[in-house]
Amino acid sequence: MTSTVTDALLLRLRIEDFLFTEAELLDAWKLDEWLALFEPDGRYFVPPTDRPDARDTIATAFIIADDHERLTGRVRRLATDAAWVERPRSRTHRVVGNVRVESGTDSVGDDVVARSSFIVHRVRRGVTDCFTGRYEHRLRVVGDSFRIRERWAVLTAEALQPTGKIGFIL
Amino acid sequence: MTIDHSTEATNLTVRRTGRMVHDVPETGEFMVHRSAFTDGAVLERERRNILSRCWVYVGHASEIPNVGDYRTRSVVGRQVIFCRDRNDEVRVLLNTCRHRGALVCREPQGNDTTFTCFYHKWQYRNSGELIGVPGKISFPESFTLADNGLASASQVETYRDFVFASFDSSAPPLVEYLAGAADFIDRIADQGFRDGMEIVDGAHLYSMRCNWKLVVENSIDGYHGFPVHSTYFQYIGSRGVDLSVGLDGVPRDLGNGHACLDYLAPFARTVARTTAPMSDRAKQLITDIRAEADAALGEERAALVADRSKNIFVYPNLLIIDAASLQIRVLDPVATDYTNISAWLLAPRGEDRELRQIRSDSYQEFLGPGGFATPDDCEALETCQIGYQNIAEVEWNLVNKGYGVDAPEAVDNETQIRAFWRQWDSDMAGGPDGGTR
Repeated sequence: MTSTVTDALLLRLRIEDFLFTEAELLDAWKLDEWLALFEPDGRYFVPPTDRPDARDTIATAFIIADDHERLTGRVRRLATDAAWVERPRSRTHRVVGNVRVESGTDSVGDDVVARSSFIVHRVRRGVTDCFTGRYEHRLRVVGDSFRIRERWAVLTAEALQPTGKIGFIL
Repeated sequence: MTIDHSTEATNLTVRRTGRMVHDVPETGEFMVHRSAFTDGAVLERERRNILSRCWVYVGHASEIPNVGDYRTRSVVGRQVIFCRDRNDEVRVLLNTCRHRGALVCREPQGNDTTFTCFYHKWQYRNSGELIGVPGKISFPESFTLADNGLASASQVETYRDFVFASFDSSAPPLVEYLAGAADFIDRIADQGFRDGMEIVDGAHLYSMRCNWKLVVENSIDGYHGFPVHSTYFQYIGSRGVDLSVGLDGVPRDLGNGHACLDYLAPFARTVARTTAPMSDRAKQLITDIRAEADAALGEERAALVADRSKNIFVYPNLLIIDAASLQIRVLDPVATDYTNISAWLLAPRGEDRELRQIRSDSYQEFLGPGGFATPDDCEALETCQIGYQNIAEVEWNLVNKGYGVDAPEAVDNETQIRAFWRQWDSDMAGGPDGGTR
């Protein structure tokens, strides 16, 4: 019993460490390092605000439903001088909390599912925008760390108003 | 530079005439005064002379397919219920109780035969009639249910499943108003030659911190494509899309302020154009659909419908972007420097899942608030709006590309944008009865 509790606690702490590191990389715009946290077929999703619970990316028009190739394209684009919406870059600051961990189902290939809450502030050209929502990270355990199979960012907002656009990585 | 000279001359013009559009065909001068984007009185006048008088887009019939279906939304600043009543008639009702004003429907969508204001339980049919007032006996005789139904748009008409409303009973019939835009809506609707078109579930609701007319200009502007969207083209090129096609076509004035860009482009088109990254199955399906389009529409028409990209502006609030994918984009001006935008993916009903995936991928890669292109448009337009803070020193925008120039019309000219501004100027110059149309 004691060891089960300890194991669960340690797993959560390791996951929290992983999520906090991820947040730090994104806020620092170290996007190549961030991309390296993904499995080679890892994906990134932002459902539309009127369908936060949507999972089927064909039946519903997602705001973002990146396969790994498009995600790589997104990172490469943001590294250029011509991703105008992020030149100059936004300052972002994110707080990740309320972390919950559950074991994944082997059938879809994830070892661990981490659910958390985020608050992301984006500051740019005199405007501060706030994005809140929940993350769902579907992770594979790789040695001492984790690799992202799927990363879901589900917004609380009913509309991207007044935030307008998601030009950075949410 | 001749700008200083002409600015001086036109400042005299604007002071003399009060017009914000300076249009001199003889010399190819076309300028728009920046107060059009910044002046609160201009927006008020737009609400009165344009948004309250024109036909405005409300929604697509496929959003309310069944009797009783409804959607609530803001349409050019009005809160409406867009619904299908029990007689299968599409309604655009004003969402405000006749008693004290509360919203009678507070859900974004649903299905019901009646709407009940929760404040005092007044109940309305989804065709608008007031059918229940608690404590009716204590109201005076002068109060009747018949006089107090939900207010409605003055006119509601549907063209090829595109539902429009006018809040002016004297607006001309819709098809007359649409003028040349009707044929271009046909070219969208005809892509559903098998079984009609449908809005795909999931709305992209976003905003830009800029004037709505900047979004109009940008959405039909072929001149900005390569400078603003180079990263998008690099990306699709990296995925194997052949970019040698380029953008080739013409801008068009469709009458009554409607305008479009009509062109060939390298984008994937799930009704016509295969691209290298597609699977063999998808390529075959598209080839078959394209052949079927020839048979169903005739070869000449099918080429216009299926092969050509079209950025269509239906004055004043609807954009149909048939380019990287097919998007309905609707503008709702909120303030001089703030515009809400609602956008949807449009597709042939019953489209194959793999093709729908391609359509959806193409949409996400270019369009929408998380795409590789739209956010950069947003940056351009928002910085224009900020630039207008210098209006005291720099008063005029130039919209003169290709004007009076002795050369063939080109996709990166601004003819279509001038068509919009001319109608806008005419409407704004009109008195209480509006401009000429």
